[in-house]
Amino acid sequence: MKRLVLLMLLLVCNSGSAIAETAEQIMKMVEANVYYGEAYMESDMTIRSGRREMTKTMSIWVQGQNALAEFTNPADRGTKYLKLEDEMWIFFPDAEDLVLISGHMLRQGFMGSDMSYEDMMTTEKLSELYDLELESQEDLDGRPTWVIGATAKEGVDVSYAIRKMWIDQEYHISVREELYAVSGRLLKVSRVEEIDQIAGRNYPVTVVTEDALRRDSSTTLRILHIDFDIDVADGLFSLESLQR
Amino acid sequence: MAGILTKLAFRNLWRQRRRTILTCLALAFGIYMVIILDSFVGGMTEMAGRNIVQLQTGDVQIQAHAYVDDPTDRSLDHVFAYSDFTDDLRQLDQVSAMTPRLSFAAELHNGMDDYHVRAMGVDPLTDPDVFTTQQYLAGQWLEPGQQQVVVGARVAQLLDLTVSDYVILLTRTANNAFQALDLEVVGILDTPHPEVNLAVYVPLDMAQTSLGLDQAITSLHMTVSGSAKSAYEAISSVVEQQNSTALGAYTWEQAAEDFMVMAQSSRAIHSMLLSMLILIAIVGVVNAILLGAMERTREIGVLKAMGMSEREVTQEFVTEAFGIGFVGSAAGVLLALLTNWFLVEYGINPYGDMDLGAGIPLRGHLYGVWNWTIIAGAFMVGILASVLAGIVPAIRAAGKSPIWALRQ
Repeated sequence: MKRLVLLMLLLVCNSGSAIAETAEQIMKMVEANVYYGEAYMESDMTIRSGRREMTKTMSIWVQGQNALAEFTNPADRGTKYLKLEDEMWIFFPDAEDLVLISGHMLRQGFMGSDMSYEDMMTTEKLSELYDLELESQEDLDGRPTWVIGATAKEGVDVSYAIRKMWIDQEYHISVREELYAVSGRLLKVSRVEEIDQIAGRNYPVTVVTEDALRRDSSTTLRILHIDFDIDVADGLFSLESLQR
Repeated sequence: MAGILTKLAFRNLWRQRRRTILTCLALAFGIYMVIILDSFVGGMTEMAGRNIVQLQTGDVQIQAHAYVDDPTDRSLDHVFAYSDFTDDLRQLDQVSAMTPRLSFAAELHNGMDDYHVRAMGVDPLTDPDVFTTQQYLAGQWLEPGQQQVVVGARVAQLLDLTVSDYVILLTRTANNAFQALDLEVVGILDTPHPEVNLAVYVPLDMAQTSLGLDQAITSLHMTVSGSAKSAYEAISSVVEQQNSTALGAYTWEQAAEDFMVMAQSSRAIHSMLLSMLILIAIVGVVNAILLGAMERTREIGVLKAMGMSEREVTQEFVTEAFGIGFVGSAAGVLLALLTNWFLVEYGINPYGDMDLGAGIPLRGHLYGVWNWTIIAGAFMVGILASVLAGIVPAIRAAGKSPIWALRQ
């Protein structure tokens, strides 16, 4: 009888360990997976709008707050995007022209996708921008997840006042995310369709983003190849390298 | 003698009636174009000015310099609390009405498509005191505090919207966070100002609450009575008293600087065109007198041999030039009066429902105006230019010796 009570106590303690995690702790685990110092990746982006569909391919270099993306598909070959901390520059090879994206332009879709330039530029950790709350645990597509609600911290400028994330309890990846306006209206939904283990960490390699205000509109971003902790060439993240 | 010379001059004009008619027609066309173009440009400028005042700026507005310097700036970086000014402005006799507005960038979604628009928070109660927007409204006007929107006709057409439809207005709060407002379309505005037809209007208080702006606006618009200049100066001094260096009072001409520059350029082009037309008419008159003098060289010799002085021969030719000038100018003015009456009364609609483009605040019917100074001026200039154009060839013709002339 004593052994049965001890076994039941152990089971209760064990099942409670998942709930015992705080939202901040869960988010730290997620951030440990998805944030990195330097990386090089090759990816493609499929943009669907109604019956229209187009795919763009690109190579991306990332180092801290800076990133460089070079498009490699025939229609956009040579077009480069450079994120230098808070600034985003575009280089158009045909016009040999450098353009700084600012103001309302940052709200436009990145290369016609459902992700805005601002979405692409956000590199701060969510735990620094939002107050997090563990709302519940749910099964999503048969897998257990933590549901975390995020509300923008007082005085912090963020695009989405409210976020809701479903964190896979095994992979520690946000497998579904809903982004809301201040009014509480759902604006965007993104879901992870494929997770891969790369260099000892779980990483989302296929993410589909849908604009909740537009019907039949989605963007699928696939990471085809990724290297973490690469050596970045000097001067790669500069306006000079953008025009090279 | 003067009577004989006049008779002679008109007989000579009649003898070469084909040439005279052609020269008169060229002059009449020039005069006609001067009057009609002036009426058209004047009408367009007047209508555009009226559209700007009645639908966009009011007579005078208080606004941040930054917004006037860059009219494409739709940020909420330069808002101000209008309660700072209202008490002082109400004490001014010149200010007969005022209303606040909050302009911001937004996207209007209908579920399928979206369109970037200029959204305008307006006070539903005081806005009609300054603007005539409601005159062009199909449906209902806004009610304070309601989740309603009045949509410009062009936006309604692009997004296929009708009254009672629901839309989502996506914008940013003062903290730069997305804000999405579910609004009912209560009215559609089809105004003669294309920019207004591309905008959407929402109740000011609802917009302020949704954007996290407490009583803040982007502009305060006023209708003034009496002298516009003294009203502007009085309003400017109220702004200066607030020690607000970021804000300024602007007359509608200052606020619509781009349009004013465009109107001035169009006037300059107009003047150039008119000068060319008058020059063509003068060349016609010179040509008619020169040819007349050449063809009638022997006749001039006879007249001079019979005792007519050089002065009298000159007078005869100048009278001919006067005759062409008078008939041509009169015909031009008469024709222009008839055409302009139609333009003023009924107008024309050369572009249909299309906007004129290039930022011209006009669409639909274009009307002319009566500018009696130009009409009288064109008539006088037509005659004077003809007479002046006739003097040199007349002197040349009169200067020939009778013996030489008779030998020709």
